[in-house]
Amino acid sequence: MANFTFPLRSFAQTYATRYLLFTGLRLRWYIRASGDLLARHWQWFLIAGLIVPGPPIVGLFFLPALVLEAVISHQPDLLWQLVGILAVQLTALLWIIPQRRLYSGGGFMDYASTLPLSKSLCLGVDLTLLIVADTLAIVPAFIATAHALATQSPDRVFRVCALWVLLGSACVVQMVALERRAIAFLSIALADVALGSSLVLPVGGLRLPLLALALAGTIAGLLIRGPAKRFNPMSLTFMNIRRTSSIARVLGHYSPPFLIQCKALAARPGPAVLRLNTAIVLALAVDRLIAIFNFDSRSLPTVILALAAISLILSGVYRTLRDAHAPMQAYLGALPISPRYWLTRDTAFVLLLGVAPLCILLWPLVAHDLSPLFVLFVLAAAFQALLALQRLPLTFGERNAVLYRFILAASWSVAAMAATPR
Amino acid sequence: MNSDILLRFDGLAASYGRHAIFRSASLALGAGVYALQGPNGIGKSTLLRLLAGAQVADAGEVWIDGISLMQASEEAKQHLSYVPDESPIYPFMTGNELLQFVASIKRAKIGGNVHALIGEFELSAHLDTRFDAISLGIQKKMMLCAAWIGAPRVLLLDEPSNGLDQAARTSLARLLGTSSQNGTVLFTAHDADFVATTEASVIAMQDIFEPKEMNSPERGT
Repeated sequence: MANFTFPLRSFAQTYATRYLLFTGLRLRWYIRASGDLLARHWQWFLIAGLIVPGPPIVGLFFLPALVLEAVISHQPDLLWQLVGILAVQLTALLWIIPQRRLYSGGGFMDYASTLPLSKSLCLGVDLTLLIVADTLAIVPAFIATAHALATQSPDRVFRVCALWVLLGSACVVQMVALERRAIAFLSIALADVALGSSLVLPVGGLRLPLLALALAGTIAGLLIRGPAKRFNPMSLTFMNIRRTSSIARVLGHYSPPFLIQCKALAARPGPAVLRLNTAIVLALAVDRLIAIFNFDSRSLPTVILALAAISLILSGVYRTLRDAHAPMQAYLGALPISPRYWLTRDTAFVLLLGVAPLCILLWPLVAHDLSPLFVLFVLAAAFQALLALQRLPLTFGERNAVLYRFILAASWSVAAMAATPR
Repeated sequence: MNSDILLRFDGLAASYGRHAIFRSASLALGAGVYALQGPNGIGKSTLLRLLAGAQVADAGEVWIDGISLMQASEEAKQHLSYVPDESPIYPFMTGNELLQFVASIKRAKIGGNVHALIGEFELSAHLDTRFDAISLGIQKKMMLCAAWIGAPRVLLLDEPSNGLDQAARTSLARLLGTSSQNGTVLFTAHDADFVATTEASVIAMQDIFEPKEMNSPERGT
């Protein structure tokens, strides 16, 4: 017996050491490459938690917890149950897709793939990384679990099990999408139907076997490899456009720095498109809101708040541009350019991005003569100044940059409201 | 100062944290090709970065064609070109865009000599390809082409022959020889054959810690 257990223990120790080493490396890369993304997620969430009505900070966790509880609650209609399950999985997918580059492990994984790492070890490390990336979702999951257990419902344990199967399936959906294992989606679809059916059925009967089937389908989704293909940034369609377009050629001829800035944004299309679209959509939504207000005295303060929010949204572009310039700093340092070369150009670029939402927001005020033109002109100039100032927290704020940006935007909106006559 | 001296540095010091790379490096170079040699880790690449203004020196002064790099950085850099060991170029940038960018920064045109170099390096087919989609050798060739924009008086090349095919090495060696007639070419290389082909004067890193003037290099040493 002793002869048998010794190699087993040795194997376990080796496995644990490898797991810890590999996980440590992947996590360090994830944190470094993302610029402390995890910390920023929590920072944003806590700031949002202070603003949203309800209990401070933790209030925001209750909303997703309620949604999770609603999804696992008894519904008579299977279709609605499936819609709920798919909504949770889709949210998980939308959360992880922008992080795919970080999850991929970078260029190091090309080297790691040549090492004799077992599939189970890789799977364990991948899952650990996903759980780290999803830490924000863990708190609502525990709140939902506690709520479900606190009820007097006879099937509360079953509901909690269903909740964790649902969360597990969401995690597997993320992994399957990131690794582009289309065949595994069949297994997850089967698991979804089984889970939905188990939640629709009354107490007893086939509920437990169906839940077990859902769990089996989820685990199968995790294990079905098929023609696996790890995410490769080079394989994205937009990245495959390697040839320069004629627009880029013209821009490159007349304004090479502007082309570089545009391409820096295009290199990270997810965050860039999200920021620009959010700014435009917010401006359009506020236009609609002040129309609902019938262009009364609430219009101008609403526009000011929207401008402050847009400055927060667009200020993220500074980070994108700075990150793009960083690897080239050594080479740029040897060129005859001022140390403030990119500082001034990047600021001008962000100011340019702010023009479209600014025009959308100010147009109704001009059209309905809500404020003197001079006041609107000063407001526009002040917004551009705010956008320029939003660069400072990135330079000096370090870890608290988001907080400083928020304070800056809040202070600006208070000052603007106080200064504008109504 | 001798008016024929194109590159001069005096009392240069560099360190990474508490680790001093070198404390007082001084040298003055006239027109010619010079190969900087020394064992790994002695600070050859660091010295080139300091001379190019890509890294701030702890102490000392650098003059490019008589212009102080510390006091008139932009003007001095107008007269120098630097090619690092690796290619720290935006991955989304194409070779053409790099050339246009450098030309716009130096307020110069991409001259016939650069076009000739593009032809010699057989780069025409790769000019519109992104940097992250071309090989290291092609990236190096693009960087070398960019270095000749604006007719620099001082060329600082860190391991320029690394990753180049034999034909490109021969072309580069010939080009260095041509450029040395009106300017100073200082490069680092471990490749003895390449150094011999360029007929460069060899400067040992250990020697530059004592002030020295080299106006008439002995070729092929």
